[in-house]
Amino acid sequence: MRSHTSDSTTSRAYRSLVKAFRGDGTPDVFGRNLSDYRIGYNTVDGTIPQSDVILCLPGVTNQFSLARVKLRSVKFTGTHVPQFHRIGANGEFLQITQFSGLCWPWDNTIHLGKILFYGT
Amino acid sequence: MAIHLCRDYNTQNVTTGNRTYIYAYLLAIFMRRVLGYSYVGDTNFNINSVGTLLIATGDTTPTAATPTFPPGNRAGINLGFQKEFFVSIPAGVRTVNLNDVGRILVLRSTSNPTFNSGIFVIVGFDIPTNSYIIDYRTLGDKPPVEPADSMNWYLYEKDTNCPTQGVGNTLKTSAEYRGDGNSTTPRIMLQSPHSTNYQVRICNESTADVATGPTTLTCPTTSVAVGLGGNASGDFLAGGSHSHAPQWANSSGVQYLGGAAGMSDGGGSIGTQFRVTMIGGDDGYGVAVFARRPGNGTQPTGFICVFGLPFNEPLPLPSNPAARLFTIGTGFSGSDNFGAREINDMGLQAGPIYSIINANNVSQGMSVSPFGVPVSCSASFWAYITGGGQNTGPQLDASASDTPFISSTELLPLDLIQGTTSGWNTGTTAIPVYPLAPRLMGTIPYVYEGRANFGDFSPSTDPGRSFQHMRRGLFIPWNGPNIIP
Repeated sequence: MRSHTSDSTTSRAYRSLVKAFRGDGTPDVFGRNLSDYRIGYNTVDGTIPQSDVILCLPGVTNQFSLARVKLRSVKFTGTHVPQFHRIGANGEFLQITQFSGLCWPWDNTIHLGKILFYGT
Repeated sequence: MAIHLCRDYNTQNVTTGNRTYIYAYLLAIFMRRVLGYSYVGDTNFNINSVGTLLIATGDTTPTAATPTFPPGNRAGINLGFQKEFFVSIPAGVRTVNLNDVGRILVLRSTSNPTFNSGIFVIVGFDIPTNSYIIDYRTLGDKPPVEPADSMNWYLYEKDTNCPTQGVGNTLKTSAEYRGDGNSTTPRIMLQSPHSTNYQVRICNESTADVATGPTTLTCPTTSVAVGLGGNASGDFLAGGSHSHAPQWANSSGVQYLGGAAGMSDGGGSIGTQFRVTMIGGDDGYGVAVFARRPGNGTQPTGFICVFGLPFNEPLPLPSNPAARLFTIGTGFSGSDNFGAREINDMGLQAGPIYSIINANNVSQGMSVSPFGVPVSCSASFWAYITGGGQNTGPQLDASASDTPFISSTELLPLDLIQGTTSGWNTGTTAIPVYPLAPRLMGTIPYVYEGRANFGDFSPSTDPGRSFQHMRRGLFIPWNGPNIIP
C-alpha cells in the first residue's frame, strides 16, 4: 500500500492486526494461531467471537502508523471453525479457510458445493 | 461527567514495610471524597467519620452518601503572588497548625477537576490566612484561582499511619480464605454513584492470605474486588456476586493465586518511594491507579490497577449486572525472594503468576461470568495476526513515532474481554479453575492504547496536554498541569 504524500513512491508492506484474547500477543490471537475451541466459541451466547482487521505499518522509521485502515470486508475467527461455516446471527460472514480463520462477507446462503472453484 | 485526577502523590512513608499499604489508603480516600463513592462498611479502615484517620473537614455529614458543606465551610486555593499554593481553610472549622504538616489534604474542585482536585501533602501553613501550603506536584503551572468557600476539603492523617494489615479470621481453617468475618485486617466497601450501584472492596489482605511464595496462599498485599452485596464489615460473601476468587471459593488453595487482583509495589527495599497518580470520573465508571518510581526505576517495579465498569458495553447487556464489572491489577506481591520484585510494571499485558516470576511484566484480571462465577478478564490489545508473545505488540515497536498522516500519536480505545484463561496461578500451565466463556465487555475507562516510546510520564504536546503517556503505551486523559519528570 502506498503511504502518505511525502512518501509517495514507495510501496509499504503493512501488517494485519487483530484482537488478542489476552494482552497483546500469543497465546490466543485471532487468526491462524487461535486453535483453542474452548475460547473460540462463546458457548453461553451461542456465537463465534470474531475480530476486525486493521492495517499497521511498524518497523519503518518515520512511517509508523498504528491503525491506518480498517478492512471492512474481512474478519478473523480461528482454526477451530470448519471451512464454509456461516458466521454471525444472520450468516453475514463465511469462514473461507480453516487454516487461517479468514472470513468473508456472506449472504447467509446455504451452499452445498465447493465455493472456491480451485480451493483455498 | 467530570474527570478528576489525583496527580503524582509522593509517598511519605519510605522507611517501613507499611509503605505498600499507602495505595489502598489513597485509593479509598480518592473514591470516597473526590469521586463521590458512598460508604457501605469497613473493618479497621475508617476513613468515613471524623476520628483517627479523618482529622477535620468542613463537611457536616461526612458519613452520608453526599457531603454537606454549609456556606463558608469550603476551601479556596491560590491566594495570589507567592501564595499560589496556599489553600485557605475556614478558621471556624479548623485552625491550621504545625501538627498538620505531613498530613494529607483532599480537595475536590468542580471548576478545575484536573488541576485542583486530588490528594496533596501539606508541607507548611500560614497563620494570618489560616492556610495550608501544599505540595501541588507541578512543573511551573500554578493552580487556577478558586476563591474561599469553593472547594470541598478533608484533612486526613499522614500516610505513615495508614491502615496496614491484620490477622485472619480465627473461626476458619487454614484451608479457607480468612480475610473476612472477624479478621482484623483493614478493608472497606464503597459503592459507586453509577446507577448500577456496584461496589468496590479494597482489602489489605490478612497475614493468613497474602501469598508468601509462588505456591503458598492466594492474595497480593491489597486486593481490589468489584461486585454486589457487600456487608457492613467490608466483605463480599463466599459464593456471592463478585470478582474476588479466593473469597468466592472460600479457599486458600494456590490454584486461586492471582484471582484477587489488586495493588502491590514489589516489596522490599526500605527507602523506596513511589509516586501515585489516579484518574476517575464522578459518574462512577471506576478508577485507574498508577504507581511509578522516581527516576522511573524498575526494581521494584511500578504498577497499574484499573477497575470498575467498562465504557462502550456491547448490547444486549448481560442479565447479571456483576458480569459487567472488572478489575485488572497484580495478583500477587513481590519480595526479595519471590518474583524478583517484578509485578506488572504498569503494563496491561496478561499472563499467569509464572510469567511474573520469570520477569515478564504482566497483569491479572478478574470479572464475573454471566452465570455468576468469577472469571478471568484481560485487556485486549491489537496484536499482529502472525503472533508473538506478550509485550511484542505493535504499540511496543521500537521505530514507532507520530504517524505522518496526522503528525500525531494515534490512540485507540482498549478493549476488555472476559473468560479467556482458566487460571492465573503458578505453573507453566496454570491449574484450571475459572470457566472459559469469552465475551467482549466494552472498553477500559480512562486508559488508551498508543505507542510505548512516546516518553514515559510525558504529556501530549497539544496546548491543553490532552493526554499523558504513562508507560508501555498506555495513555490517560490529562488536561492537567505540566508533569514533573
